[in-house]
Amino acid sequence: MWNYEKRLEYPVNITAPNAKLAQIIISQYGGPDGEMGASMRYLSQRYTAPNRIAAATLTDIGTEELAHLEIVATIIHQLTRGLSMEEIEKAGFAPYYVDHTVGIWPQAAGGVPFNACEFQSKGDPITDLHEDLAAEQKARTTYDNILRLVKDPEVADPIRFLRAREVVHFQRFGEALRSVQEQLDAKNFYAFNPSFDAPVCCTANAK
Amino acid sequence: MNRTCNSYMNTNMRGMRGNCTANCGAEMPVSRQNSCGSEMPLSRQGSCCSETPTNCQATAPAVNYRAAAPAVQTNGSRCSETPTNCQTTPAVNYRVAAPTVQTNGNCCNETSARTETSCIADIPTGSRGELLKYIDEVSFAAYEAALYLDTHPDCQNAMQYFLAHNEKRELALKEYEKLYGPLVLTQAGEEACDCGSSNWKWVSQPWPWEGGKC
Repeated sequence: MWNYEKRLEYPVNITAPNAKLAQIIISQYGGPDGEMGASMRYLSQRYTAPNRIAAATLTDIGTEELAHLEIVATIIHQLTRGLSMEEIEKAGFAPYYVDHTVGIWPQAAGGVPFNACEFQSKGDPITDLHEDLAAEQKARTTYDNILRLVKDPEVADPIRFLRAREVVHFQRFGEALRSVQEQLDAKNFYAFNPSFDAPVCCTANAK
Repeated sequence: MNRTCNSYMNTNMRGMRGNCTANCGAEMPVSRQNSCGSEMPLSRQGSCCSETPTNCQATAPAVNYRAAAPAVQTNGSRCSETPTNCQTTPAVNYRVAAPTVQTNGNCCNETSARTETSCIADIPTGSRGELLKYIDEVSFAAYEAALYLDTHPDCQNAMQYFLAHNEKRELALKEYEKLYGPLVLTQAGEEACDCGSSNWKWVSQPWPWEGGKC
């Protein structure tokens, strides 16, 4: 089950609202490579994990992504707090405003609402872990792109933290993939689906 | 092409093997600078942070927190540390210099600074912001070690690292609750309310997104 800690994993203190930036950064909230997709992906995949290393990794990284979701939402909230109607119109923020005012709603920068098609939970651990590796890279690239658009250091600071975390997660998923492969026949990783054909709960290092 | 790659690419990931420099940790793509200093603007190339010893798998320290990773070789033995002579241990993680002497009388060195509770920086007694920052840092160090342990559940160094930092975290959380109110509902104790004046602090104390200009 989940606990909540009443603090952000990394502090966010933005003093200058900027609706234009908010519209871009919202992609990391509800966009295709954003934190909501990441957390739902990993937390969904963990049930059919074939060993406990993978299960633990998916759980703990999925949980951290929820914490990142909170950071992104905080950034957007502080960027849209106290906007005047003039600022809203000038920034091209009116379409979002009319449906959500300055509420936080998961969508991509282009307007596509968050949806489960933006992630997979394929039920095959090799497939799922490869998806997770790709997801972390996609998120990193998105943060790279955001950083090229951000001039405000108060905004860039938490974004840089989030970007660094994606790289670490990539590393962990690679190790989890290796742990799954080590329990399979090295001559034929695809002989069967360990999540479906041999769904035994193994200890972390069992052969 | 001199590819800089993270240590993941050294593993048997089919079809993705490449010539990797051994002393690049996963941190490599992140910190695009020559010295482990502040972030440089984005560029495609960068050289490795020299703090990662060769042949030692290190967790990637986050750019800002720089949580020092347990340094364990792939064969399980510890990376060699340079014993100090009770010099002040520079605080890699926190802005405050860590204590130089453990509770058992030994000097704090590079290794014990990561694994001995008494070698981790003391809980600050200043402002609320300082205490929260300390909690953020020591909690991050513990969580990062926990992620590392997810894929290295036999690494004793990492376990010690986690336990030492988690112990500090628990103490700091209790201290914060005593002074300001609980940060974790399930650990809330008597200090969670001004019970006489009907003030349930979980509700009334600030929420994490209220920073910046309020």
